[in-house]
Amino acid sequence: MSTRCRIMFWGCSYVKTPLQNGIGRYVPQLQRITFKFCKSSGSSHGIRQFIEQNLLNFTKENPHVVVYVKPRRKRAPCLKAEYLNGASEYVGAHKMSKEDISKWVEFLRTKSGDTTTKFLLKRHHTDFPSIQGTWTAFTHKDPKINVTQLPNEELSEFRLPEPSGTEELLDIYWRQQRQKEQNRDEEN
Amino acid sequence: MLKSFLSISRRPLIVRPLCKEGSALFKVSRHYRSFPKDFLKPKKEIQEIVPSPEEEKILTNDIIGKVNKQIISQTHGRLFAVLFVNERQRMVTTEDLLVIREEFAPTAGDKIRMEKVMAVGGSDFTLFGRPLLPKDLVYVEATVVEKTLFATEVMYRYASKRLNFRRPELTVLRISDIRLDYPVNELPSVEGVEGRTF
Repeated sequence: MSTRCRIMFWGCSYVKTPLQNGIGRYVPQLQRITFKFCKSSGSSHGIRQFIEQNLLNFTKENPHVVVYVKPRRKRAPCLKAEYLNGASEYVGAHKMSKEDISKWVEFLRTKSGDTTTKFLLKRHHTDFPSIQGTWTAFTHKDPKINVTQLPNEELSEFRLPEPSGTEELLDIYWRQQRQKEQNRDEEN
Repeated sequence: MLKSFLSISRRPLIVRPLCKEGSALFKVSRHYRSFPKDFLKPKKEIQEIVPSPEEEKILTNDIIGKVNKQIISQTHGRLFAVLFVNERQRMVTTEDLLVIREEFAPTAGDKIRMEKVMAVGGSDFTLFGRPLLPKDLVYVEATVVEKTLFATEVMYRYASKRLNFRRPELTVLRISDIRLDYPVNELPSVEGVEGRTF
């Protein structure tokens, strides 16, 4: 699948943050996280370990996050995060180890609600694209052009980017003439 | 059709000599020109007034003084900076968003100081580093707004039946502050020490 095909199906976007986050101060986006697990099954062993050992530290470090712990019988464990802009993210935690779950929790914490799963067209965003002024064809040019009447013979002349053979020959000819004149002056 | 094209291509060049001295062979308008300005002129004939070192010193002091006046009074408007991030140069102003595609240690909410600044400029002047500007001169700050993963990418390999997928790390930085702390050529004697404890 080429990038073009991917853009067609999954869409593309530019870099953006919800509510202009980071201007002034950083507003943490994660609001609520729920740990759903079974008390007895082996598939939610890792998540139970995480709740026993790491969850209190997580809550102390992030007081802005509401943490729900929801035991339910004979169902697969999962994490669900809800964000400030109403978006939510679901991560299945089936047979995950404690380290894996702590990684996914960190992922959910640092994410913003705007899902950036789309293809990024640019990795930079500005509201001020130029400060010294954008370049045009008339920057650093003689303002005389503004006054000239068109069509103008001088401007509409055909020119090559490099001097042609005739021009070079003419250049040599004029130099020779000039040298001759100088020699004559010296003799006189 | 073909004949007409040929006739255009074979059209003779009209060359009009301006003067005998040969410096300018034919009339060339100074504007709309794609090749360098003194292309046809022989180099020996160009005469320039080279300023003496004393005059040059006066000129540079004058220019630097004008820049310093703006820096001290903070009358330069919005500043831009060219940062060196992840082996590439990015031109940036305040309130910009930058995406970094590689592993990046700081987490969301952290404030970082960008130390590799290659150039800084306002509307009237630009300061270029050789290659970097001194640390005390410029202060560029960024906050980490977001850390996620990119969209899934397909890793192709020639003549392989298997496709691999990956999601590299993505960090979004917001440039929160760009400021010039000291005037040019008036930096403290020991650089890079301010704000550090030993």
